[in-house]
Amino acid sequence: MGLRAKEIVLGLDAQKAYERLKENHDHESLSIVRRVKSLELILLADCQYGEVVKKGRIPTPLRLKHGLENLYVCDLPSYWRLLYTIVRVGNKPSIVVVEVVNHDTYNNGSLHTVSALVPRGHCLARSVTLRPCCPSRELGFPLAAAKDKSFVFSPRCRSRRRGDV
Amino acid sequence: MGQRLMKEPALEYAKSGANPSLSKIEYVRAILQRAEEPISRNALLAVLAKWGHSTNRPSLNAILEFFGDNGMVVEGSKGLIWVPEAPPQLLEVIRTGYRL
Repeated sequence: MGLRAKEIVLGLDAQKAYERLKENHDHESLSIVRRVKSLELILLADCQYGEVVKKGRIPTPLRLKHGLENLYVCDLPSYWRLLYTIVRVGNKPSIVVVEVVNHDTYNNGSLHTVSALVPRGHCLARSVTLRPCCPSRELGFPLAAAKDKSFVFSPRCRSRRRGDV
Repeated sequence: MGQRLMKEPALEYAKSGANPSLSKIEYVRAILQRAEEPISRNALLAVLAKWGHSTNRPSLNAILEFFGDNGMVVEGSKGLIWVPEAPPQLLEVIRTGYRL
């Protein structure tokens, strides 16, 4: 029964990060590269090895940029993370690694910044309602993105303080 | 009628006792598509029962086998998920991207 992913592909951003890590020869980068390589066999055997990000919790910028419907996170050494999704082309399920990011980026950096990932003038930029929406509390949303008037914030957010946006 | 149509073929998925109807297949697809996170076979059966469309395990397995062979479902340590069609953003990446 074909209930496993057939291949693992690195997305553009992930590939850039991976190559940058391969070029560095410090201990940290080497161990991350080694771990990514070792994840290949693990993911082909069990495509849900990573931690599941629920559909509603997938960062909006990532969802818009890659059109994600599912997302998994694997921990790498030095608090780096490997983010991947499972998609199908024809009848072949594939794992696509969308990002390989360090802790800061994952935790409060550009993954959650709409302006950093969605090109300006993108048709979705004006209509999207960001959820979770609070720039001050949720996801460490940068204030610069919050001040951008082209993005609509949900009025339902109770924790938004006056003067945040 | 040609020679090849003289004899009926052996069925690949349907077996006696595991011959789900099209409606069951659609319900299972709907559950998988709507699930927030990976779902187990037991949970699938429970939701089907809750919807008033109980089925037996062999039928469910036949449905999942059919979906799995067409790449629509994958199973891992956390359960079953629906595999969406690759979005246009990722299609090019999959065609030309670097393979691990």
